[in-house]
This record gives sequence, C-alpha cells and structure tokens, in this order.
Amino acid sequence: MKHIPSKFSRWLTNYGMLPKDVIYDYPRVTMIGNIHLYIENHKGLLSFDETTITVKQDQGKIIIQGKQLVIKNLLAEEIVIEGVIDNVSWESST
Amino acid sequence: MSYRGNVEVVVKGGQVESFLNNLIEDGVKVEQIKRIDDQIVKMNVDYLAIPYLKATRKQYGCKLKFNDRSGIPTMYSKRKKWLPPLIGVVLSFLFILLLSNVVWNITVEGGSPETRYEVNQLLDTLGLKEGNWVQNMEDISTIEREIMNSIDEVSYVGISKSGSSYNILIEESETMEQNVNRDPTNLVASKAGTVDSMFIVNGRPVVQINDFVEKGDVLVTGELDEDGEVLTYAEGEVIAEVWYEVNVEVDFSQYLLALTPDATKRYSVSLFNSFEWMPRGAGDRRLLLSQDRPIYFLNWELPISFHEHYFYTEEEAISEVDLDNHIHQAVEEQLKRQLGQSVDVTYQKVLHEERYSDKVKLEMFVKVLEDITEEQIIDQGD
Repeated sequence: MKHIPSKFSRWLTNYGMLPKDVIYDYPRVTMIGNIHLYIENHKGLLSFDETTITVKQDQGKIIIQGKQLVIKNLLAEEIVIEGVIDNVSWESST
Repeated sequence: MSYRGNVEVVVKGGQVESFLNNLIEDGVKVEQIKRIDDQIVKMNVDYLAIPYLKATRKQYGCKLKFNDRSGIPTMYSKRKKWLPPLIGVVLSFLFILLLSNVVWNITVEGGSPETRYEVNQLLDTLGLKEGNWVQNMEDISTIEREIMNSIDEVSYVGISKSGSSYNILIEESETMEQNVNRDPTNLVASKAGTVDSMFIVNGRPVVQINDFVEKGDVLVTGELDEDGEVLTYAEGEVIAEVWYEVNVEVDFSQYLLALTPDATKRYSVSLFNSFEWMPRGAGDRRLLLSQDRPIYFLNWELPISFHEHYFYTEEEAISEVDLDNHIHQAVEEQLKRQLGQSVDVTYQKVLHEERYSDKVKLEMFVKVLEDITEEQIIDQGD
C-alpha cells in the first residue's frame, strides 16, 4: 500500500478505524513477557547470534538484544524469537 | 514434533543470513535456528527440502552437515523392526479382549423340554443370548430372579459362569401329591365374623351363609356321619366378613415429589471400583438405579469396568393434590399391609380423624372379606 499518500493514510487510520500496520505496511511486533517475540511482515533476517538478532524492515531494521536467543520459526512473512529478551530497538534509515 | 520428517542441519561458514532469507522466500520452513559460534549455525528443516538446500548452498558458500532426523516418518523408519510385531501383539490382545466379552455358549440343564424352551425364550429377552455382549445382559442374580418369578414351574435356578459360557441349571417343582392318608381334621374359625361364601373341597359344612361365627367355632367338619366313625380331612375356604378397628397414619409429604416417567441414562468408567468418571454429568438429577458392567479378559474381570446409571428428574410438588383420593389409596395400602394382601375391603368408616401439619391420623372401622379357616386335628382319643 505504498501508493496511498501519507496524508490520506493518516486520515484512514485516524478516522477510518483501520489498523496502522495494514495502512503503513509496518511490521507488527508482539511480545509475550520477555520470553517470546513475534514479528509479522518482516523483510528478511540481517544477522543473528545468541545475544543479538537484527531483522530487516521496510525503512530500517529492528534489533533484538537478549540472552540465549533462538529463532523458533522462520517464514517468509513472520519470525518467532524465544529466549530472554532485554531490549527491542528500532533503527530507521529515513 | 512434526508429522513430517525433520532434519537437523549444521551450516558452516558463508553468508548464513542470506542463505536463510533465500530459503524462506522460496517457502522452506526453518525452525530452531541457533548460532553456536561465528561459523556454525544449527537449524531444523523439513527433510523434503534437503535437495533444495544442497542446490543453493554453493551460492552463499555454506557447508552443510545433516545430523539428527526427527518427526513421525523418521521415527517409524527407526522402529521398523520391532514396531509391526508390537502392533500385532497389541491388536491380538484387543481381539482377545473383545472376544472375552461375548457370550459364547449357553446350556440349560434340568427340567422338562417345555420349561427349558420357556427359559431359553426368557433368557433371550434378558440379553443372555449367544453372540451378545456380556455388558448388554442383565446381571446373573437379576436373571435368576426373573426366571423364578415369571416361570411358575421352576423352583430353583442356578446360573454358573465359566469363562464366556453360561450353564443354567433349573429344577422343576413337583406337583404336590394328593395325600390320601391325611389326618382327619376340622376347619374352625380363626376370627369372629359373618359367613359370606364357602368353597368346600372336602368335608361336611356345618355353617351356612350369613351365619355369625365366633372364634373357634367349627366351620367344616371331617366327621361325615353323626356318630363320628367315618372321618376324613376337611379342606376348603370359608370367606367371612370380619370387622376391624384399625389406626392408620397417612403421611402427605411423600406425595410432594413427582417422578417424571423417563429416566436419563448415563455411562461411567471406573478403575478399581473407586476412580469413577462420568463423561456427561448427571446434573442435579436423582439416581434411580445403577448397574455394573464388568469387562472381562479371558476368565478374569478387569479392574476397569463401566457402569450404567439411570437418573430421573425430580419435579416440585404436584400443584393440585387430590388429598382425599390419596388418603383413600394410602389407607387401602396400609390396611393390606396390616391385614394381609388377600383381603377385600368392603366397607370403611372413619371414626376419628386427627390432622397435623402433614400427617393424618385415622381411627377406622373396616369390614373385610377374608378366609377365616384354621385347620384343627380331630382328637380320636387314642
């Protein structure tokens, strides 16, 4: 939905009651406590090890830091991470 | 665990991230990705994807090593040698279990052929039938009671169970032989009353219908002539009208619960007769009857058994209780209990009535028709 103008998409989410992740094409990140993290709509895996996992997204990357991180499941659209998650940060390239 | 085969792959060197991204773009599902050190990454992949992995690994400079396999197809191939015989043994045990719970043979012994036939017919309806499930039949004591009650000729029934065959032994009652040499007897009145009707089988009646007799009066004599030389036994019935004064107490509270005619059936399973589990609860219904259905293995009863329960729904009071009618019924019941089942109540009058909260005390005068004869041996003086 890149073709939707930004003004119009803001209007859509504010007044059209549409979820933001659909309109802006953002990844949706869901966490269960600090042991389980679920990212939908990612754009690929950049790098990973036991303490840091970097996931590519549309305008940058998501960095997950923690201990004993394991990628439980990896699919084209979603990624499930388990372990002790300390920090989730957002790095925007724009 | 996956129902498809999974392989643990160790990837060494190269651009692992790009390799993974390429895999997922092409729809390969990758699980349990874990970095061991800078060079080595472990992951689980569907084993059907192995050729694809092998084909693309060179583009990213990765070395692959395949470790453990898991999932049902691999589990099966690992157990190929001993699994089929095990399944066979289990199946044959189940088969024996199944066959142990079937009635295989029924033999009826004793009695005349007619009675045996009748007993056989009755057994069929009670579920004791060749080829039937043991659980479907009534239990043995019920069958015995049922045979005794419904076939008059049978005086004894013994059912013995050996394995899955049943042996039924019946004993027929012999018809009483007429004892010609019975002692000479009279029939005397056991109670005072007015003779209503007579049925004399043997002997000479000395009273007539509508005669009033006192207790101990001779009703039918065994002396056939006046001198007392020809003696015989007296047999028969003398129905007389007898008066009683009885006290009856009727309790109303017992009429406040009405039963719905249809019972709800529920099954339960129990282990060692203690841990009982009923899949569909009975709610707040009241238990009417429960029957045990043991499960057999060859000759043994297994600790697991299942039970049949019948529940009925209790409903609150009948809105309009016909009290007078109920009193009448209850009085009749109690009279029969006090005076015997065969009496015929011809007249009843309440002399005194006392009512409590839910009880009625009645003092009654009743006229009853009953057999008042009592046998008395004629003393011949020797």
